[in-house]
Amino acid sequence: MRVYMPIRLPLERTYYPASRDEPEQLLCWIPPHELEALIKAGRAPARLRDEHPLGLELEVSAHALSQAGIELPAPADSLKAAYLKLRNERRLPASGYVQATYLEQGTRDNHAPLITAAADMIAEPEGVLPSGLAPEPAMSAGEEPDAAMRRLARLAEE
Amino acid sequence: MPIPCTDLLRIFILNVGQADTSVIVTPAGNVVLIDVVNARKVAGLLQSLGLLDGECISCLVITHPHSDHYSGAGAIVSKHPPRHVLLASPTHCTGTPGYHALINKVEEMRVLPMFVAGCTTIQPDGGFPERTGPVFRILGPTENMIQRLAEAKAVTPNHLSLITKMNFGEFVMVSAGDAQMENWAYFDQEGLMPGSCDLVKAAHHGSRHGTQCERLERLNPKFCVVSSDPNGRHKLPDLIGAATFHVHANSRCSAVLTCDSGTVEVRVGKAGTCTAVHYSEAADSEILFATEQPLLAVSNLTDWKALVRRRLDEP
Repeated sequence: MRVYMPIRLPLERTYYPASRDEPEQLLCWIPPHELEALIKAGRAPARLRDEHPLGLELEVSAHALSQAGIELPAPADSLKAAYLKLRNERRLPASGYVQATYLEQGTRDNHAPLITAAADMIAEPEGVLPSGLAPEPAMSAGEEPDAAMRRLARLAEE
Repeated sequence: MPIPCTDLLRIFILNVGQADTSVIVTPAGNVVLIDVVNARKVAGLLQSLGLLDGECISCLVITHPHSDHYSGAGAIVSKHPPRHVLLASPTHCTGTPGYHALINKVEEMRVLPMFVAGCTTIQPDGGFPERTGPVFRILGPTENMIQRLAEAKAVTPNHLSLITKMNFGEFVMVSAGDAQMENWAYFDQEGLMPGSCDLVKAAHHGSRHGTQCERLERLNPKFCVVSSDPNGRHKLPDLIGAATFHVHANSRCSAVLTCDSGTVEVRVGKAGTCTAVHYSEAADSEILFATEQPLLAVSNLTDWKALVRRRLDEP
């Protein structure tokens, strides 16, 4: 009998790049319970509950946020700039997953200019992020994606 | 059988903006989904076709781990459990939490997802000679090909993209996901690309990396559908892509952008003869069968020349 072993997922809102080859494209993961809270707070349309029962993943861009009808605590460009600043300062955890509340606090109060910026990441972060490695979100129990996919590929071969 | 049997194979290439979704209904009423975005629209279509909540789909193919190809799949598999799930090889890129949540859901349903490297064949209507249903060949890049591209620092998640080649009688369809020129070349070398075909779902939303002019010339399709919205953030089709379709549409076939045509449906009879219609609905609207219009062999639904000019004028 095959044992079901899920892939670990962030349990809270999280920012990360689309892939290691696409660092300029920032995504946001909103787990189902946080999506529900956003809907109840009127910051997300109710249709998203049915359309994304497993959680919502969306690109952090003004266009994508407006299409989804989602309101994040900070503007898309500021979030991208804050994430890029962490990357430039080598303060990202190996997974690339950054706890949303941490990144969002880095978009307020600070006006330090961003020296290096990709073409579509020109906004300056406006807040001060505490020093050190950016914190990862709390994660569910389960396997790392690499291990899970190797296991599934092995099972399919058998 | 949830969806009534007919003599027709029905292929719907949905207008979901700059994203991909195809729904294929076989003559025996089985459903194959290739990428799923906009769950509301897909659920509405499946319901209109006669598939009730809880009834299974035959196969779900997710071409690669980019959310404009799977973001609606979680909702659909929750309503319509898939019997088979085919995914891109996890070599080089294992995806993001949205993709992982989908894999978790599928595994929780006791369906073992299969990562395609090479060629996998599925025959939803069965493989007996007396049941000559459609044959789907799902082509995925091998680990070696991805490794070679990675060594050349030329790999992106689009390179993982699965290409679906489907035969039904004499009819041939190629649905290219976000395949890049290296993917096409690889399957050419392996002898797995058809000499010509009737329908192409163009690669990578009509980008210059996905659809080259010579590829279209070689495949020489009657219908070519580009699933994109040129006003989207990635501005696809780009200049070269738009010029490619302009050249091809003028001389040979009906090439349309889904944002202009709405959803395109191609109906294929058992002899392999096909006709196409389109529904003109917006990306965020449901398909209304009453709005059906024929898609002509030479269509002017998309003004490719105007798009080329617009791209030339852009900074």
